[in-house]
Amino acid sequence: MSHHDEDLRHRFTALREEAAREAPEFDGLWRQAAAARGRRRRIPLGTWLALAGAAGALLYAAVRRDAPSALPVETVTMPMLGQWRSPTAFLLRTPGEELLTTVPSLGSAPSLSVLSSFPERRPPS
Amino acid sequence: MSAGDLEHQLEALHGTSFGWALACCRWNRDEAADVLQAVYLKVLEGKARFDGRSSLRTWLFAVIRRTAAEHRRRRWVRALAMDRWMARRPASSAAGDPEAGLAGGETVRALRTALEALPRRQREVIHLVFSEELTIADAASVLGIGVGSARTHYERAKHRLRQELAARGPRSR
Repeated sequence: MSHHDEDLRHRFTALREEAAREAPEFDGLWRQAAAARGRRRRIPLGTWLALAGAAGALLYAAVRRDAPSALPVETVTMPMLGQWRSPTAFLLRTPGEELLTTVPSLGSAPSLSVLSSFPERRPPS
Repeated sequence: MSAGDLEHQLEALHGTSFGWALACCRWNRDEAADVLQAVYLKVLEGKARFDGRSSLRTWLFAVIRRTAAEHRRRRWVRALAMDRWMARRPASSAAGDPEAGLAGGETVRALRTALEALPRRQREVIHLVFSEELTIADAASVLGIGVGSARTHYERAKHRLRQELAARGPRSR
């Protein structure tokens, strides 16, 4: 160790001794820290309660908004499936279709009247 | 290590811990006491836990240094948020003048003033080695830097400190 290092060591020793003299008591600082810890523990409890209240209020508001309203719902009458007719069923009707669905009688010519019964191609009103 | 054991060991290191806290707070006694109390609070709350990877003193010094840096940052933010002039006046008067915080003999005051002229890293390394009698490796661990880097800071700090002390006149003890 050089002379300069020795000199520095003496100076720093004096510095350390002075700091030790100036140091506050350990017990005091430790007790204050313990008290601060107790205070910090109490604060979160109140904070948590406030947060829980706010969250509950928000949840309640959200549920209320999504709930179905009390207004009467318009009732819709559904038709029976067997009674349903397609709106374009008339397009399937062809001239003389009665000839295909009736049995002709022997000895008589087919009536031409059936041909006059050409279905009117008009959508049902 | 039980809580009681830790408390006893912290008590044994209290004087030297305060010395290091003073160095981290630029010799502001009140601030150093606040920092040390905050360190004890961290220990009590379990925010700072000694895991045995280093010596207790090295670990404690690292916690003190980090806590002092947090205090410094908080004070800086507060000074920005509040009226700057009003906020800076008390802080600068204590932190800027190393002779104002503590009393002390001529030797100590001259050393403190000379230390203030050093860059922070150099000041920290030389304080840990000479005042707290840590090895350079332990000092590097406290500061979170490499041993080579700590050695460089140490050599530069010694050289600079020699110049600063010489400029302030002959040694007085």
